Amino acid sequence: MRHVISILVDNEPGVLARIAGLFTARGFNIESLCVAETEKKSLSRLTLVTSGDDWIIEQIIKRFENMINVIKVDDFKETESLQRELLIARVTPTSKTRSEVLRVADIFRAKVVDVGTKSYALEITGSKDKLEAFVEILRPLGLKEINRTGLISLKREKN
Amino acid sequence: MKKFLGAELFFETLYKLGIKTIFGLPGGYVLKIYDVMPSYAKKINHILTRHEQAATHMADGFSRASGLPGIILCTSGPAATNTITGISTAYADSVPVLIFTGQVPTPFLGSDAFQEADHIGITRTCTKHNTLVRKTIDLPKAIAEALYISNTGRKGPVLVDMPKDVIIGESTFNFPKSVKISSYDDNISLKNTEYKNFINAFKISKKPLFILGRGACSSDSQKHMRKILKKFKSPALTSILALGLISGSEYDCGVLDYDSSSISKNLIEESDLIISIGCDLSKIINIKKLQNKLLANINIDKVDLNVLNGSDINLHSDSGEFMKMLSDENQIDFDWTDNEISEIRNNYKINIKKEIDSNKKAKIFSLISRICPKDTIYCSDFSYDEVNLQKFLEISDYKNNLMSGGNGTPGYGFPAAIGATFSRPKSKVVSISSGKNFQFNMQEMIVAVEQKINLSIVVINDSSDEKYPGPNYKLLAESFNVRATRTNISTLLEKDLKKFLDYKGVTLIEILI
Repeated sequence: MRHVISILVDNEPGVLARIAGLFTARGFNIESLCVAETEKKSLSRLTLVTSGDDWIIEQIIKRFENMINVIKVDDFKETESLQRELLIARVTPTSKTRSEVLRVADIFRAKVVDVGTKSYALEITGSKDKLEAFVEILRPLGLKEINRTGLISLKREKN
Repeated sequence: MKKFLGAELFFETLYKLGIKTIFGLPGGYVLKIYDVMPSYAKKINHILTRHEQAATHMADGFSRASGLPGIILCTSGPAATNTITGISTAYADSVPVLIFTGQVPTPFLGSDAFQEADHIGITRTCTKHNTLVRKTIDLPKAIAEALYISNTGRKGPVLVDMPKDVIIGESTFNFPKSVKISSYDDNISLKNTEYKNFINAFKISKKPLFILGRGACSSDSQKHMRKILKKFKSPALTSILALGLISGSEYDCGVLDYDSSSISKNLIEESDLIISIGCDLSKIINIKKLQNKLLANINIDKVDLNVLNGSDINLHSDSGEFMKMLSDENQIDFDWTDNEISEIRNNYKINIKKEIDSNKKAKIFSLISRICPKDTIYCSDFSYDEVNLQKFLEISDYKNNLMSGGNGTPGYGFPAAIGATFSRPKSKVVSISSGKNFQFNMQEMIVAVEQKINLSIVVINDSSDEKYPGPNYKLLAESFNVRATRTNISTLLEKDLKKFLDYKGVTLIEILI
């Protein structure tokens, strides 16, 4: 099963290696990883997406909690949290597809962030599914390369 | 304010933290620490070892025999990598040891400098925590925190890496008034709901069985456990590492480990509630055998809880706190009868006796423990091809049982025995190893001689192996100035053995089998 794990850690060197090391030890793949400072400068939040046996993931989370530099670990279910990702795509359309690319960008509420004589750079945020749909539609229209940040998430307020 | 060298801060801080003994070996980047050592010689005793692995085992033995933390000091690169086996050993059995390593100066970190190794990276998976000190002024705080982390919660080894510029730099002495690490919670207390769940199951069970592991020994819990067994008249099994915890109790039904006799397996079969305290269950029993049992698991480390994936009762707690609460419960009559338990105990003893009669090494172990005084510390090795021989000894206290359990380190026993003599100088210490295991760390005999300790070394020479015959251990020991003798098991007399074990100083007896 797919897990989105959010980890609050001390903003210190070596912490990321410690966390990534636990995944390597278990032979698990990290699908995406995003780390940045939080509202407090001394803390970082790390959002990690992985999939695997629930019981083993639970074991890994317990080991995270045992680490000295880890403050809090959440294993988010999709409904409990906001999940977003940012993607930048470079498209080199032909003269025929040029307007189609801009129309697709408009439908997906993507922004044009760079324009050249041959290409556009588009920026889009959204859920994983939305981004994947966007990429699939751009592909026949001259998609050259993409780069994405990986998922970030925040807990929803409980009612 | 007075300024100190990093090297001086190292000793000042250790002294303030109550450390009196360290084990180590000098080398390049820690030479400054050794330079200032003579002025601290009265406060802190430094034991010069001949190999860093042995230094780590000594600190480990020092700690297991007394409960005090063990301290190691060595330099970078080859010295630090030599300690890894010892660190893994301490980590597997949750022993509080602190490892101080020298490191290349901070500007050269990561440049493949002379004798450089990435200590933090290498020890990441075998320490509870590790840290690199970047400024001299931070050194006292780093040491105090390392000791705190090592010695609280589930104990374990902590490594502090000290670059050369930190050691030779100057700073004022900022000793932290109290240690508080925001992201580290050592205050694990038993939750009421968890305890109630357990008590409900306990009350309706008919035949509860206790399994006690190393974790049950970490707190001052011996008296509570004895009270529990007496009150509820229920049997208990110990893991090989918890040997001695309930010795002499009439409910002690022996050792549970992978090569256990059928008796402990039958006992598990017959009981309906298994209460495991401080065990890493997967290491001592085939978990599948517990699948249709009700299991209550008490552990300070969440990782070792929930081994049956949901069907067990988990109590995240310090074992001492749990035992104290349980020992204060009202008496409950279970279905065990005293006759039944004493029969199990008798059968266990008969089985042990049978093994002693058929296994020469077991015979030597049992003979030695018959001769030695009650409060003797026994140190032995795990051997690849044998059952755990420690169970053939009569061990009176868990602190007298020194062996590498989880890591199964060959060559652990002898250096650990040297370490134990420094924390318990009044107790008799015996190291029993097979020749092959003894060879792993035999160079440390010179340390034992230099330090003028009292230590009896027994080497079981398995000379039947003609392809790989060992050395003559008697001659070897004599070259180290150790009083030694060589004898054959068929002609070995109890009174001769006793005479030799009673000698003061370092002695070695080689027994050919």
